[in-house]
Amino acid sequence: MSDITFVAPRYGADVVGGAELGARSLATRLSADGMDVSVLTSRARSFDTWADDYPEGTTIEEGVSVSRFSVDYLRSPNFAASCDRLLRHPEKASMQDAWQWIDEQGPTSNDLLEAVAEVDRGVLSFTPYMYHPAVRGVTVARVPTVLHAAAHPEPPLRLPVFDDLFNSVSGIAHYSRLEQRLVLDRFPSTVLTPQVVMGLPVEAPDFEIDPVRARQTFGLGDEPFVVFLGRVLRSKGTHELVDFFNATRERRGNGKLVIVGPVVDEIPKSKGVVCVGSVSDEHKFGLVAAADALINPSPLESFSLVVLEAWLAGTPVLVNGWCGPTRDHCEQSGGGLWYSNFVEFEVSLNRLLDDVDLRDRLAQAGHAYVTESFSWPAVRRRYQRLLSQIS
Amino acid sequence: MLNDATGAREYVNRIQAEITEEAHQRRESNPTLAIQEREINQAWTRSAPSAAAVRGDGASPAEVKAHSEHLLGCIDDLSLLSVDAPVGKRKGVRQLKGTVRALTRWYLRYLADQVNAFNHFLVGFLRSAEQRIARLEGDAHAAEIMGEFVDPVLDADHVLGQAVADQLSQCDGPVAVVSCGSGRIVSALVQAGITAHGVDDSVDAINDGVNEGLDLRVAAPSEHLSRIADGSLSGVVLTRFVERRGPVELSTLIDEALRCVTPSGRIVVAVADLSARSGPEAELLRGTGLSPQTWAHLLRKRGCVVEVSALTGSRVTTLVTAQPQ
Repeated sequence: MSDITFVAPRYGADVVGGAELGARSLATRLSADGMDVSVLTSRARSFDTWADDYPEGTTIEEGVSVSRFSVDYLRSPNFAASCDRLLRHPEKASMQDAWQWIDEQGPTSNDLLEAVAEVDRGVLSFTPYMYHPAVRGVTVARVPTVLHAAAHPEPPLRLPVFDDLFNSVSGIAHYSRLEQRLVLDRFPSTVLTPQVVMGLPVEAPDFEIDPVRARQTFGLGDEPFVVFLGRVLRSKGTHELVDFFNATRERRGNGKLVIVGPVVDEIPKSKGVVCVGSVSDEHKFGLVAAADALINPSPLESFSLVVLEAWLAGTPVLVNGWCGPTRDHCEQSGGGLWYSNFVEFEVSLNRLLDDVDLRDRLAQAGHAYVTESFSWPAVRRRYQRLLSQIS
Repeated sequence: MLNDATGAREYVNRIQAEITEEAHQRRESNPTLAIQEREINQAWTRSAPSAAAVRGDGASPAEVKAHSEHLLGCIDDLSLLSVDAPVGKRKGVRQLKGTVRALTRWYLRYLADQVNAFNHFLVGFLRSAEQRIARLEGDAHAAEIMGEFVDPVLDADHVLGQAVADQLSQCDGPVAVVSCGSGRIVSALVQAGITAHGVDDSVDAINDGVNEGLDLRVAAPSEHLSRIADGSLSGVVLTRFVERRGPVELSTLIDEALRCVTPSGRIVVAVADLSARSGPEAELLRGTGLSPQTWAHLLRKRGCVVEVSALTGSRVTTLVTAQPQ
């Protein structure tokens, strides 16, 4: 049995998703520091259906013992449409409807829950709040529990089924101060639950970042460009970003937007937008370092690793001013700009593309912020404080 | 110094102000842009949840005012109903759509004018209400505003942290430290094996403690205590912030603290003596804070058993500890 057992809906080096990346990042680092760390998860790589992708059973990955379990049933392709009505007024949903939503949301695996119930040592660490393994898993846990909620101000958070989850965990690790505030507003009784604003470890990669090679590989020439990193999802603001960027480019006459990440919601083709899909970490960091700025248009973030990684790579950021956590990073660090409407986006982007001194100053401030607050020793110190309080 | 976090924050705030000003000028000089932005803003309204935009509880009166003005501006922008329909680019389509638009305008103009007049009145009323609220807030925050001209209350020192931990050493439940600053008192309590969290209305004040992994939150103290169920705390520590607040707010805070603690719980008040104030501080902070003796009096009047103890080696020279009866 382990010192700490992470429970996540998906886990793996090729799984894309903020909370899942966060769990892996913590698990591997804690393991490297000598802790006995394990992970209980599904066999799925994608949350679209939760179809079994990884082999069943236990493997050792980057020093972490990872046990994967088959799901009992796949998620219906009509799931999003079927819950539309429920999520229009989530606070009015009955407990029965809310539990049904959790079961349909998945990934539902009785074997996984049994494994959670068998953990009789250390701490169980659940992430994120919105999926079946966390909501059902906490009810069968026999050891102290930590929730890494990754909560956003999104409709499901208002479903009544989550009150029990947030109120029954032993401790909460927040990604940001604004996430903590959101959780305290939504679940006032967590006010006495031990909690910490932990963030996530963000450190430079162990390879040399090569911006020149990245420009060459993707045929970007010498034209100025900005980069978007993450899943291409309407709800993450990618489509608005493309519209904003195209309108700006039409007026200024140059510039490219490079989109890096898997495309979930197709975006219309346009001259200034280059979609490169998923790429290796070497190319990802190379593109970010080569870019004049990284843009995160998402209004729904609880931490935003990509913003902090951009600063590590020496690149300033432009974020959606309606998103509390990313704007807070920029305000606290002085490392990025934010926009709340199209005109501000256009003015900000033009300034970033045309002013080298501004870019350098922002990137330098952002870099200092990341290295001071989100180095692994700093994050570990905060996490261990929480663990020592609840263990 | 760019590596200095405060300098970097000031720099980015200056750039943001320039961007806002330039955006404002561009809207003024280009009416087409305003129409385009209105459409895009409506799309944002659908995709950006309002909760995402709410700033922290520690927002200053100026930030709250700016936020209200921004919201009023949005309401103003979105309140205008236009009966103009888009016209096609091709000649035939343009003529057809032009005819449709003319007919639409003729038919709907009367209705739209009435709705616009109502919206105009409504926005005017909201602005007037906003001004009246601002005047009330100005009166209520007078002490806070004057307090900005004197140095902030010093953070608790180690001596004070240890003394408070000693007073609460018998606590077997959670303790809340109101106005925790960087968390020295919370840290001392945690080291003594007591479950403790802190709350402060200033983000900057708690940053160092949060980075150390202490359980410190940003919230208005009274609001924070109001969320805690009756009798669920073993102790409440009142310090720093209470030295700059008026009697009404302090009275509310005492009531909340008494409600939150168990019958065997304790309230510790750790404040400097008012007689230690001198010069501009004494004048600007007049009417705020209470001396330890007055705290003791108030707590006795509320039925507590009160103990006053002297402390040496700290800015705070008297600790008031109260136990409800």
